[in-house]
Amino acid sequence: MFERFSDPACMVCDLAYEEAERLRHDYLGPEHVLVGLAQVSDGGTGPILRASGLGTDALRARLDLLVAQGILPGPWRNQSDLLRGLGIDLGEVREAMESTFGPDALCAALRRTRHGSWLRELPFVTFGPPSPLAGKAVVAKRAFWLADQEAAKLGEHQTRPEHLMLGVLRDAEDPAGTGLSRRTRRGYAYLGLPEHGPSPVRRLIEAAGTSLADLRNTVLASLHAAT
Amino acid sequence: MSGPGSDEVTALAVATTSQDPEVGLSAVAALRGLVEVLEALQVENARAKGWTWKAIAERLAVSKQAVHQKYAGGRLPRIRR
Repeated sequence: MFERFSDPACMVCDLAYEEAERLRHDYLGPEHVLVGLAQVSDGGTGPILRASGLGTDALRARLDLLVAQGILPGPWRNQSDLLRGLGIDLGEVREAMESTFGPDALCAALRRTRHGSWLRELPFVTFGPPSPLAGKAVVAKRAFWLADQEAAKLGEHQTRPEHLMLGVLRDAEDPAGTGLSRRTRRGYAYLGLPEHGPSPVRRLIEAAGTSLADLRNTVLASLHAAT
Repeated sequence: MSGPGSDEVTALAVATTSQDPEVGLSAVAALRGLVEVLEALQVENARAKGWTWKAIAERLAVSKQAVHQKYAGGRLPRIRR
């Protein structure tokens, strides 16, 4: 999934992961990627988002608001915290398993337990049953896939942050849960994500008084200006 | 990674054993996800060490048919139709 990503795009993903950690979310969603994109300073996507009133701080405030409204999951849903509440240290379990059987065995066991339709719906699949050992579910997978498509359409061999942003915007055009199997929808419901209605990214952007199409045009214009 | 402070953990521990079904059920689901993976890991290891399905089933306290149905069938995950 990340083979074509440029170094700045990978950094955006790292920042998105940190944002998910800040919110204690068990998934990596397009809304976290948007916060990562807002932190790209040189050229690129940060200035565009800031000009539209979607700077890092503004985005974080709006994300916290969505959590408070119950549209995004609250911190109490964090699986590792829930298990700690039962007296289980997930990090210690993982460490013990990896030192006894090796990391490959853990990966194999994870693959084995996510039986189901993952082969059939490869481009959109996010995860099987949510096991706390599996790490974060990549809910932004569709956005990443669309970003690769956008880069290819523009004749680029690398996916840069601008393309990532186009992917996130394209993904947000569709309502939440588009292109998912019933099984994955169940996984979404478990994570506490909305199963229908406008996608969280769309809510974030429209709350700032701009629109998906406007932002898309701005990004495309900046890409044209650069070439 | 910024984990919750010790106060928060204690609060969570209380919450998990508390009567809020939303928290309690989510904790149980997390536990199940953990157990599922650990079981697969141990069964795989036992098979690699040459254990029979019968012996594995005895240790897991299920029938040998159950453990065979769940875990036999190659390295790829089962595909449901």
